[in-house]
Amino acid sequence: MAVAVAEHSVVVLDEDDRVVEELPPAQGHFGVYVPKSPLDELPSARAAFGPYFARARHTGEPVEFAEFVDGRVVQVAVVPEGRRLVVTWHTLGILDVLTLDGLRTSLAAIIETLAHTELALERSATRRSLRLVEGGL
Amino acid sequence: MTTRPTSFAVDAEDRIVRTSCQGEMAAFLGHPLWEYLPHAEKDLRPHFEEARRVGEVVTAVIFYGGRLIEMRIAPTGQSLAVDVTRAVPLELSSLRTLAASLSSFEEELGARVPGRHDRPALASRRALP
Repeated sequence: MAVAVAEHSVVVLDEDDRVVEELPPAQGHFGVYVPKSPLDELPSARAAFGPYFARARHTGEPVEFAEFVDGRVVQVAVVPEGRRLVVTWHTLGILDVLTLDGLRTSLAAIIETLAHTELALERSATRRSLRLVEGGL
Repeated sequence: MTTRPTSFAVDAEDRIVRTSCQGEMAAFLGHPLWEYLPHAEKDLRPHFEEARRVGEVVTAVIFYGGRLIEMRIAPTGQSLAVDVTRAVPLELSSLRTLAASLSSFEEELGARVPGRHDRPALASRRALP
């Protein structure tokens, strides 16, 4: 099994992706980045999250996605508020890399979690679209 | 492998009898290696047994602690002298880097099963999912 975790963090990023606030303060692990950008501090973060942040700013619409990054599966919601972004981050599972057996088992669980979450997010987005269409009819 | 030693020795009962590391491992002198490296016994012990059985230096490749670790295991009397010669970290930054890393590890792990000295057939090299 992937290592079970219940990490949850909500941060506010300014227009340069710098953490300006953690909600509530000191509850997650992104508070340490105030006033820096996690995209600069975490080597893999820019490639993994940068395009989603850019999309949310460009469209002005919330973006939600699941991603594997730095050995963990995360579900991230990005809500634009003016030039700022409110980013909610849930860690859904962490790869167990202690032994080959643990890696095998957790890798299968991680991939299943990622696929399941992506499917759920896709369905959720479709439902929202349908509600918009229905509301417009 | 920043906290792991580059060389150590174990006795016939796999207790640590020598280490080049003055840090964490030194505190485990006289203790079974498996206390210092929890859950490593299943993958590492067959290589120790092979070195004892053949009485010659054995090169082992295992996956442990997020790294592909290559070690040279030399029987010296009643003990085994172990030198870690290479430690390659698993690339976890993305699924793409993980897949590439696993593919490379799979090749090496499949080719170094204890007691097997020839390269295995492709179909039997599924060390990882």
